[in-house]
Amino acid sequence: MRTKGIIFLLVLFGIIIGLMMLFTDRWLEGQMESIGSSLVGARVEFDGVDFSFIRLHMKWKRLQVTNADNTWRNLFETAAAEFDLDLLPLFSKKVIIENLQLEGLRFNTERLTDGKIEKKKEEPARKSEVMLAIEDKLKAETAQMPVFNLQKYTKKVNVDSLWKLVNLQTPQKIDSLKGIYQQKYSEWQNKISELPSEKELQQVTQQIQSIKVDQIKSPEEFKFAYDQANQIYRQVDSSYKSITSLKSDFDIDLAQVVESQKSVTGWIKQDYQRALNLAQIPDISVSNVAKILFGDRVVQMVQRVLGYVGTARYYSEKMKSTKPEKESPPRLRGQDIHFSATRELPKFWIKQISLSGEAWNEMQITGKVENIVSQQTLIDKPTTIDISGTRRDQAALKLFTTLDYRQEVPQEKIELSLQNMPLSNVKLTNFALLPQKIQQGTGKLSALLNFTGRDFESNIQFAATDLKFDYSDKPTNLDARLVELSRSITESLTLITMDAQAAQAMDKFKFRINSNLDELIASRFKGILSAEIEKAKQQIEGRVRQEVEKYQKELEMLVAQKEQELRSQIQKVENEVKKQEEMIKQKQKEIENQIAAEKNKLQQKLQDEGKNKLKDLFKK
Amino acid sequence: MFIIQYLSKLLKILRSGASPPQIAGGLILGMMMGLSPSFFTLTNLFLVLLLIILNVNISMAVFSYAIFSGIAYLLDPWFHNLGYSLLVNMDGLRGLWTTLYNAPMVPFTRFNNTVVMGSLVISIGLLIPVYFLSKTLVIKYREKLEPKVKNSKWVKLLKSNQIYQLYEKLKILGE
Repeated sequence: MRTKGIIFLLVLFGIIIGLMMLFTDRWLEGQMESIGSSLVGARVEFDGVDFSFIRLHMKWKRLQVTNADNTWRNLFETAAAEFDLDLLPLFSKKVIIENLQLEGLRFNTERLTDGKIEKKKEEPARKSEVMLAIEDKLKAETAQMPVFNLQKYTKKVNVDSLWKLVNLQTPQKIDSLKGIYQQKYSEWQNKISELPSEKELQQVTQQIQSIKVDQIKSPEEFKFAYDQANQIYRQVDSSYKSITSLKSDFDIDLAQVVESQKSVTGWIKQDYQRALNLAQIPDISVSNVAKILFGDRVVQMVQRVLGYVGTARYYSEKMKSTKPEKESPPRLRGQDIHFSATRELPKFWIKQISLSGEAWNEMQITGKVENIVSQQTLIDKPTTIDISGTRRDQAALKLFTTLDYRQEVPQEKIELSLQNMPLSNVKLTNFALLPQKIQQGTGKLSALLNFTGRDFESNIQFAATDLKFDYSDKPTNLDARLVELSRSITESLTLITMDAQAAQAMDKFKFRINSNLDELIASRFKGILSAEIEKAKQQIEGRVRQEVEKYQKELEMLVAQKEQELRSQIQKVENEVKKQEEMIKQKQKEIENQIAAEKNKLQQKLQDEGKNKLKDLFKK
Repeated sequence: MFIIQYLSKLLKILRSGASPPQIAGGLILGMMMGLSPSFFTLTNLFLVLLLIILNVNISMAVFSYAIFSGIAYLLDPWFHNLGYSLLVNMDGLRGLWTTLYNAPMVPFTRFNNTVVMGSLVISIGLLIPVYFLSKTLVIKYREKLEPKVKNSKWVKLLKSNQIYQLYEKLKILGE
């Protein structure tokens, strides 16, 4: 035992306590800023942090949380805040705060310095994987968002100049089809040439004719003629059967040719569509307008909420998991494993945050955030955020959020409603045909976002009433037709409604936006542009058909001509064989009749001979 | 240069008046602190207290801390795997970890960190063997090797080496 060592230790302890008194505030400030910044993804700054060891009381003068999407503005900032820490849980490294008072809360305030932080590349996103997957789907949706191209609507279609660029593909395809047909026909020609030739047929006919039934005398001659007739019949019948089979094959093949001819119609349509694409003829559809107008904003709003919910879920999953997945942390850092037991206090728990402040043009807000906790299962309470705000002009805000991670399937629900929001000077949307600003009007917004495990559903409804627009910012270089369109739209526009839905169920993603502007703008567009568009479409279609017609006719002629040619060849042989078949049948019949007659004659003779013999016998 | 510096330090410690158990004690305390990935844990604070209170060789502890910090860096992935297995995969120990996690003061040891747990288990395992082995080695060294080392060609060569002399001068200048 070192006595000097113990004295040294006591002195050292004293020095450490002294240093802690002096530097804890600064150290804590740094730690909280570092943790906060890594959570938010942008700078989090505390000013005037003061921590009392004796009273376990903490306060700060100002807190700024940078908006990660715009690092020159704060997401929010607070004025003075203070709270007490519970003593006993601190011995178990647990931070329990009964009530945190946040005053002077303000949103979207300007920053004096850039709040951007350099993110480490190797650090994975601290967001739930499910949320990241949904975010990816939303990003894909944004990438597919239609773009409103003014030039499309101002440009007149010049079919003559456009025609130089069109590369029709139907003629080439018809040519290659003709080639295929030609090959097929020559194959058929070969098959037909294998049928009995005219000479062979004549020979058979001669053979039939050479059987002279009336000149046959003896039974041997009958037998010979009969056998010859049968042989010829078999030969003719075989020729007839092969002609029938060839005819049926030919019919099938021809049906295929006719069927393949139908694809020409499809090729013509493709050529027409290609020409239309080159002409960039605008297609005004209802869904396009709604997505152009509100798509980006809705997606951004959902994405922002997803970001926050994703981070909350990531940490809740990490703390809740009894068997967390193995990570690959940097050297000497390791992975913290958390253990929870019922009736124990959680690692971190702010029981209540009472907040008050100002949001959006002097709206006074108050509210409570309850149970920000590392493991909800231990306290069996969800995290809730309940904020409401009012303004002198009757504008009101209500936000209620529940983050429930107590069960196996995490659930988050966010309800936001904004009532009687004056819309004067509000920038509506980046749509060239609508005024940039609203001069007067009242808006109402309600949003409900519901996340359950892998599924989510969001409904956002917006209505703006009693609208009057500010035309001062109107673009001056608009085409005359577009000016007319714009006037026509805004004159009849006193109400804007929008209903957006983004949802995912069973991994199927759905996104749709409807607005009364859809119908209005689309109908105005159609009214003014449809006649012109229709005319251009007809011209292009006519030109395509005109160019392709001769090729199509050539093809049809080839098909018809060849069919007739081949059919007549087959028919000729068939007729001849049929004739021969009838002839030989006739001959067979004649021989059979003759044989029968000869038989009768012989039988009669035999009977007579027999009778005579018998008579002679009786006479004797 | 570092190797010469470390070697010379080690020789100085071995030649000092400290007894073999004191040197071995310093070595194991330094080893435990060095293998831990973070110096600021309750375990290390406790070890520092032991180092100051107990009559062990502090120079050896510092020397050992430096050496084992390097070893800890190299063995980090292995400590992580071991710690993860103990904390997550062994269901039989879950109750113990949960109790410790919620007990007063224990969480400040950061035992729930995979690398801390892995290195702690290894250093506890090595504690007794390393203590007795190092004590025996010190005794053996002093009995047999020290005179030989003193008069060895290598040591003489090392001391007469220009680099060594230059280093010594630099060291003096530095002091």
